[in-house]
Amino acid sequence: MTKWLKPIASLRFTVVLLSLSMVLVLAGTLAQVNHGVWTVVDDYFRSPLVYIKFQLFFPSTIQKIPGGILFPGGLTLGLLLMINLLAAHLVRFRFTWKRAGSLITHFGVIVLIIGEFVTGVAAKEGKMAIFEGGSSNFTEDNRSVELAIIDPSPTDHDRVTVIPGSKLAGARGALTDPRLPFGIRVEQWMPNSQILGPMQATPDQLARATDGLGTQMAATPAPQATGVDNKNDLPAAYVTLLDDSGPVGTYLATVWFTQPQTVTVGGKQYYLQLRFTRSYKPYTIHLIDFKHDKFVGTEMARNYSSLVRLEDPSRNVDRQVLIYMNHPLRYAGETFYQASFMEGDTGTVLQVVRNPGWMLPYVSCTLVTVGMLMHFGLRLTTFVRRQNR
Amino acid sequence: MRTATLLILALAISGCGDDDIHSYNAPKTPPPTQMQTPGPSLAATLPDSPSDVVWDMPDGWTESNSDQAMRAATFDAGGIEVIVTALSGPAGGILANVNRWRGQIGLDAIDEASLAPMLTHYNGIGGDVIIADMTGDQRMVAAIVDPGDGKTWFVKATGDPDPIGALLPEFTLFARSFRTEVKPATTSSPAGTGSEQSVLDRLGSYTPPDNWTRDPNASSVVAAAYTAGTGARITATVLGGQGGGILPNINRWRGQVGLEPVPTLEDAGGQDIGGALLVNITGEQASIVAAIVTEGDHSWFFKMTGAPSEIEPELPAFQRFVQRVGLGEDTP
Repeated sequence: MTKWLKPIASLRFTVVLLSLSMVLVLAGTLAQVNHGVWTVVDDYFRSPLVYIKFQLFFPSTIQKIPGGILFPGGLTLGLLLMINLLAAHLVRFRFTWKRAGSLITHFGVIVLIIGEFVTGVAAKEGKMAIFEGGSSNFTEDNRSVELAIIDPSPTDHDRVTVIPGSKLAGARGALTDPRLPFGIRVEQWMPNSQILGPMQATPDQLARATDGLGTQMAATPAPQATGVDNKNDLPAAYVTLLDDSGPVGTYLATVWFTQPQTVTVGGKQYYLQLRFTRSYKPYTIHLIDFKHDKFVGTEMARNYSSLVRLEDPSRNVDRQVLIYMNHPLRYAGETFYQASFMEGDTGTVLQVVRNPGWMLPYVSCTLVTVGMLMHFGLRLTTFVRRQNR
Repeated sequence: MRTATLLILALAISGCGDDDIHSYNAPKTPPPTQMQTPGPSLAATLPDSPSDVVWDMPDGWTESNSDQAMRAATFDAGGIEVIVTALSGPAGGILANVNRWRGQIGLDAIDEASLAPMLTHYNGIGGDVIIADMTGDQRMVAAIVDPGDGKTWFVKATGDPDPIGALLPEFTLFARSFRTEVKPATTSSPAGTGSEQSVLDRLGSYTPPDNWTRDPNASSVVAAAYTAGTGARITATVLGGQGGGILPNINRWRGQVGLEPVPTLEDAGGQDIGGALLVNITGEQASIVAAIVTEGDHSWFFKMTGAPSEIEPELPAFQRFVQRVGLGEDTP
C-alpha cells in the first residue's frame, strides 16, 4: 500500500502540480481579455480539462499562432493536489507535537480546496428586481439564459417549460422533447447581441423573422463581454417553431425584449421569451420603499436601501426588513444584498446568493493561521531554549 | 484504484446541473402588452441618474442653427460642418454605424475583424471615445462617445481629405471633451444645516484655529483665505451654480497637482462628511483637499492647498472648518 502511495505522495509531484497551477492561473487570467470572467472560471478553473490556445500568450495583432494544448483544469489540479497532500500524510504520518502545527496548516489547505469545490458545485446566485409597490418570488441569473415556453391555459398557474441557453447554443436540427408543446429549431444563436430598431435594420435583417417582434426589430451578433469590461452578455436567437405539419413561424427571441411574445401553435396560445435563467422561491418579497441618497449637490450615490416585506407562508414568516449597503438580509440559507436599482429610482435590484460553503474559507484561514503560529512558535521556543543552554 | 474512483466521482458531480429541458408550474404572469421596450430586464450596474452632456467648443468654431430634428448641435469649423447627434443606448453598435457611414462615402461594408484596425481609442473627460477615419468619395472622421449618460453621442465631419486631416486634432479634442454635467442641486440648503444662517454669516463669525492667520486680500469670490502655521493655504470660495461642475473642478485640481483626470465622480474617491463631499487629491509635490457645499443657487468650494507634509497636520482642523462653516454643524 505504502509502496503504491509513495510516488503519489512525493514532493516532486507537488512541485509539478503547483507549477501546472501557475500556468493555469496565467492562462485563465489572459483568457479574460477575450472572455467573460464567469466563462473563464467555468472553463479553466472548474473543469477537469481545458484546451489552452497558444494564441492566448501572444497578441493576435502581432502574430497569428495556430494550435493549442489540452491542459488539466482547476478541478483536476485541485483534486490531485488534495490527493497528493493526503497521501503524503498517510505515508509519512507520525503524530508528534512538533508536527501538530504543520498538520493543522495542511488540514486548513484541504478545507480551502473543499470549500472551493462546494462553492463551484453548489453555490447559486441570482438577482431579484422589484418595482416599488411590486413583489417578486424569483431570481434571475444574468450569466445564463433560458428560452421559456409558457402555457397560460391552467386557471391558477402557468405551465412553464424552459430550454437552457447552453442547449440552444449547441442545438443541431430540431429540438424535440416530450415536455415541449412543439418542436423548436434554432436558426441562429447569438451569445451576445445588438438590437437594431426599425430604422436601423435593413429589410434583409427584418426578413429573418416571419412573425412577432423580429419583423420590426433585428438582432445582430456582438462580441462577447470580456473579464475586463464588466458587462453582461445579452443573447438573442432566431428560432423556428414546428408543429406536426412543419414550420409555424420564425421568431426573434432575445433578452432585449422585456416581455414575452404571444405565439399560436396548433390553435393554442403560448408565451415565448428568452430570459435570464429564473429560479422560483417559496417566499415573496414586496418592495415597500427604495431610497437612493446622494451627496448634497452631486449625483454621487451615498446610500441605497430597500424596505421590504418578507412573506413566507411555508415558514409562517411575514415581517419587514431594511436591506442596505453592507447590511444584507440572511434568510433560509440565502443572503440578499442591495445590488442595484431600476432607472429613475423606481425599484430595487437585490443580489440573492446561496452558498453552503461560504464559511469554509474562513475556517480554512483560521486553521492555517493557528497551524502556522503553532509551527513557528514551537520552532522559536526550541531555538530560544538552545540559545540559553 | 481508489484515486481513479475519486476522480470519476468528482467529474460526475461537476457534470451535474440544470442543463436540461425541464417544466414547472409558476404563478400566473400577466399577458404581454403590445408595447415593448427594448432593454435588458436587469440593470447591470449602479448607474447614477442621467445628467446633461456638455462639451468644450474649440476656438474659431461657431455653433450654427440646424432645424434637423436628429441633431443635438451643428458647428462650423472653418467651413467644415461638424455634426453632433445622440441616440439612446448603444445605438446599433460600432460596426453597424461604421458601415452606415462607409456607405455614405461610397465604401463597402466591413466585418468585425476589419473593424478594429481602423478605430482609434481615446480616454475622454467623460468616458471612452472611439474615432473612425475613413476615405472614400470624401474623407469622413466620426467619433463615438460614451459620456456615461446612457446615450451614445456621435460627432461627424465630412469633406476633402486635406482640410479634414487638418481639422482632426481639434476634432479629437472636441470629442474628448464630452462629459456629463451634474444637475443643479435641488436642495436649497445643505443637509444637516438645521440653521437659517448662511455660509457667509457663519464664515463672518468663524474663529480659526490658533495657527491659522487670515489673509486680508479676500474678494467677492474668495470669501476667506487663511494660511496655516505649516504653510498650507485654506480658502473658501463661492461660485454661482455648480461653479463649472463638480467633476470638471476635481479634474482641474487633479491637473494642478500633476494627476491624470478621472472619468467619473466615483473614480475621484471622496468621503461623506455630514452631507458634503470631501476629496483628497494627493500629488507628489502638492496636494489639494477640497469640500463642495451647495447652498441655494451657488456652490461653496472649501479648499486647502500645499505640500503633502503641510496639508497632513491640518486635515482635522480643515474638516472641522468645513463642518462648522459649510454645514453649520456645532463642532468643538
